[in-house]
Amino acid sequence: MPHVRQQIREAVATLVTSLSTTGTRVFQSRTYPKQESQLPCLLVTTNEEAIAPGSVGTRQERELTVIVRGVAKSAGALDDTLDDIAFEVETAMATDPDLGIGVAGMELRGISVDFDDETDKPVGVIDLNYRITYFTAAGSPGSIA
Amino acid sequence: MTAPFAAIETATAATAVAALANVDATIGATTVTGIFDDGYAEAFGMAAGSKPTFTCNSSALPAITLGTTEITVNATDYTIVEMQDEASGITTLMLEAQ
Repeated sequence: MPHVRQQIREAVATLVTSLSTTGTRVFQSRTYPKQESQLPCLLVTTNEEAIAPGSVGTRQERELTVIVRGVAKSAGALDDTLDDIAFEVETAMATDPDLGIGVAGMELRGISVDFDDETDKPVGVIDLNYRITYFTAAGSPGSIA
Repeated sequence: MTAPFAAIETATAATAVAALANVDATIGATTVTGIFDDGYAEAFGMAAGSKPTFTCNSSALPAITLGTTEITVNATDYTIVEMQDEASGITTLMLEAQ
């Protein structure tokens, strides 16, 4: 059984697949730049994770940061596209707060936006920063406890 | 009197543009000979693309409104979004694909 981090990333990717703006262009890898034909897209990544001993036995409380990053490239209305992406992602994520795998909590912690005009069309990114809380037994990172 | 080195610099720049020109571009009703470059570029390391530029003698350019004036290069239309004027009399136009 894969680490719960991977299970969470895959569950989030499933939730945000087939949205109006980004469609099936959902990637769980942050390597290799995307071609224009692959945009706009979503990149789902699992990042830093804080782990604290639980209050019962060896159970560990974990807080995992998951970033859902929208990437768009357009000569116009780039802000609108990024805001559409945020709307669709937030709405989709809210439909399944335990991600179908029993996480204890999911919280949208913030949104950030950035732009780059160093290519043939401006590129914008919007990051939706989620904190996912879940519990595991010590030494059993593949199962939610 | 023009400073001697400035005159040499301007003449050299014009000669360089003429020697390296690879395209005739159209800006409105004006045809401008210059150097078109469209090398690979990335944004944030996440989105691939290119960085189209057109370099020519400043004196050859018609009036340009950034973000509005279009330029056609190799049958592709671009919008001129930035101008970088060099003291030597050369201008590089930064282009945005449409």
